[in-house]
Amino acid sequence: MKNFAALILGFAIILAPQAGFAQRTKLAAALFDEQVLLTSSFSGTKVTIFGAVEAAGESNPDVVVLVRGPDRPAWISKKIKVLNLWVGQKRVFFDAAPTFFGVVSSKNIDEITAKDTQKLYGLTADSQVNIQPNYAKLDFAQDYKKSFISEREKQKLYLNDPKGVKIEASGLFRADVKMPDLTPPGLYTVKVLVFKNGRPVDTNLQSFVVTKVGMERTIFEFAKKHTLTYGIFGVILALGAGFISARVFRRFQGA
Amino acid sequence: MQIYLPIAEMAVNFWLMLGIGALVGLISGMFGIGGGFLLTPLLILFGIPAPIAVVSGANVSAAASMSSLMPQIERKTIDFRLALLMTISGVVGVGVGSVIFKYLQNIGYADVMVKIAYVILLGFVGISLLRESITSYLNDKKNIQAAPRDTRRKKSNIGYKLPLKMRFPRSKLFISVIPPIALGFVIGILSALMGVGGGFLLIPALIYIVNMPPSLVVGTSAFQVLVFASATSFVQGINSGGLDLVLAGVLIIGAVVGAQLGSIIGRKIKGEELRILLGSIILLLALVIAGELFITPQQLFETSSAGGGL
Repeated sequence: MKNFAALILGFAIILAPQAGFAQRTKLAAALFDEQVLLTSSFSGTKVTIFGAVEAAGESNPDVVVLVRGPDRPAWISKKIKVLNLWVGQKRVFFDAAPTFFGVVSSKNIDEITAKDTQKLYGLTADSQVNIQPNYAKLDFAQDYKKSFISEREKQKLYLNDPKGVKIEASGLFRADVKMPDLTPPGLYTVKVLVFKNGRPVDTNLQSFVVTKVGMERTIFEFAKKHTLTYGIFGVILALGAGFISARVFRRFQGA
Repeated sequence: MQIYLPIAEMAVNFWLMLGIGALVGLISGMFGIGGGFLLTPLLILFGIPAPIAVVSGANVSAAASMSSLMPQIERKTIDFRLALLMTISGVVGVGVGSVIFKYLQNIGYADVMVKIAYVILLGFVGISLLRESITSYLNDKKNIQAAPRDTRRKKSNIGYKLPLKMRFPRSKLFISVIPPIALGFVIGILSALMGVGGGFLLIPALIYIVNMPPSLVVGTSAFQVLVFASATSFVQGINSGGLDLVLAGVLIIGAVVGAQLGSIIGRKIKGEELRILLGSIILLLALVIAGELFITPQQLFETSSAGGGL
């Protein structure tokens, strides 16, 4: 909640009468929540960004919000025919790909700015996924990268919502980014960009954490720290459950 | 109701997983097989990353086989001597199998060879199991007075001919140790190659090659599955870190209950009928794998998971 104080202060500065100042577009933004908790009932969430933009001049500013999850190496493989049978596969590895990449904007991103500007400012998933150098030369690498992005779009991990940012006439805006249950834990960055006449005029950077809590965290950390004990425990649990169920059933049948 | 998996880093439907567990447990309890051949592909189908599906599936198989083994222990329908012999040679087989798999992988045709061999093997086992059990079932129905020796298929007497004879009091057999050791070894190799327990091959082999009394087959096979599945869950779990105890826990609840129901059903229906069912499942599996080889897959692409496991 402490970010709300900062936000209100930001609004106050922006919305104050600006006689005498040089005309410049100003931006203030803050996250509604600074952390997302992965509990046992987690099945996806919505991250909300509030802000205010005060534009100089006549034309209305456009707002683009990028939410980017932690980078991880990734791969895609495609099934191929070997000896006329579906058995082989070809693979392309990516050095780094964001695990989550959401772009929400006040209107279609192609209407906001040109393609090369989009690429320069990393507004598209295509500019965020890097093919490993020794795979980049392969003729099918670019096609596979496109397929990789569309697979992640199917999983709702990569998304593009041209109606995700709602701007009021006063300059106040609200952006909602939906995150699926597959969203991995880690540090997420939120970048708010204000465009005017196709050019970026101001940005704001925020971050939030997605983290496991409670039993989910305990199990995860135990599994990583005490691999051996966890493995033994897993087998004991399985055999114990089998044993108990057999005993319970025998009692029912005996009775 | 969605439930979040801490290792797989995704949410699954609780009731769906419970149902899958129960189905696999039912099959495991009825036939004394692990059910891994069914569980692992089902988990992958519902979006669980493959390494997690393999390890958690093995863990669930261990629970299901323990559950179906208990009534068998009480009824003394397990030949422990024979089962231990096969388990030991089976472990050696797993070791040899993983070396073979590495070799095939280096050549580059690991997938082709393994899948084709599997289709042929399963097809053969399924068809002969079905033919034998249907013939015997029809003969039973038509003419109960028919001489019993005619209704049974001629069994192999290879165990009596080979040297190194050993007494198996529980099975009332005095046979060479070579067939059971060879059988355990082959099943071990297959489980290393295919990543499944091989119980569905063990059962017909115990009936027709080892000549074990059919009443002991399910329990003895379940014992073998128990040891193999526990070892897979432990060793692979440490190697890949893929054991998700929340996922396994939900599946286990379904599986242990299913296994109990399965073993009750298994006792109620006749041996021939049970073998007709098992034969149909094996044949179906062979057809599914054959289909995968020839039919253009619906999902051509597979990607690394964003979350845990990989």
